[in-house]
Amino acid sequence: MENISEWNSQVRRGVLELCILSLIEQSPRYGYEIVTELAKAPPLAAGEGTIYPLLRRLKKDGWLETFWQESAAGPPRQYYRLTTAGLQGLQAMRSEWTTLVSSVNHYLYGGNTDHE
Amino acid sequence: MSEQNPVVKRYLEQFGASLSHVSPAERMEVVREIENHIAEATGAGQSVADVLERLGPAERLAKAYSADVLIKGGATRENNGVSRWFTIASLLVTSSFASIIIVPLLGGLGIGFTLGGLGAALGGVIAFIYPGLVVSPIDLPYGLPQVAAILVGLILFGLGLVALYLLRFYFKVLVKVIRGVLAQ
Repeated sequence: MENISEWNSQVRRGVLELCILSLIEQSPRYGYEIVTELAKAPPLAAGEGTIYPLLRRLKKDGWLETFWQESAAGPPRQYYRLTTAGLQGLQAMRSEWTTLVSSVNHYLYGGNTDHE
Repeated sequence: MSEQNPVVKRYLEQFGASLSHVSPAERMEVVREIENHIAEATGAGQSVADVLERLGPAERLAKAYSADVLIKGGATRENNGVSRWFTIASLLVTSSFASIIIVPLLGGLGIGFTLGGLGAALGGVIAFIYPGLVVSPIDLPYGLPQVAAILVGLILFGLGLVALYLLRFYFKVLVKVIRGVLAQ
């Protein structure tokens, strides 16, 4: 099953940004929060080793910005929130995703509208 | 963190040292973020071993921050290095086979024709100066053998140059392809 596991991980990598940005859109989050949230959905379960670098890249690209906030339970936490560019990017990705999903479903189920 | 677990400390040091792709200014922030992650996770009850295992080896985690890894989506497969070497090895083998044919062919033609062509043309010129050198069993108009020799010589010379250019082109393509593979 080597082929499909590679495809699988590619698909997950593709949607991971979308999910992370959506989470952050709801409310600013810090890294550990995002990791645990995503871990709740096994299909999306991307490791910490993927999520943290991805957050950093999104910040580098100007889609996320960070701010530190004191935490009662320990060291200060670095929170992420969407920038204007990030919000626009997310909205674009979201509509792309919707179109993509309906196209794929169309092919997958041969136009059988029961599944759409 | 005053009482940091030495295993964690070592991990973070190794992690920080391997972050060559991150600017020094960012490096502290990146390390701190992972440090906080470990603290939160262990604070939530996980064992240090589990947390570090899920983070993966410190060097590999650090490599995930490099730009080209992020763009390509993260090469997390362990055997990525092996498959790359297989590609290079098979490339060298096939190019070696091609080279065994192409290089002697083009090189031989190239060198042989250019030198031979020059020689023939030169011979034709000399024969013009010393017509007595022309030995032919049949009667040929004066100058014909010489002109023929010069013409043939020049044509051979030209073909030889073409062969050499083709050879040079072959080497250029080969180098480009190998560089492309090595850059992965």
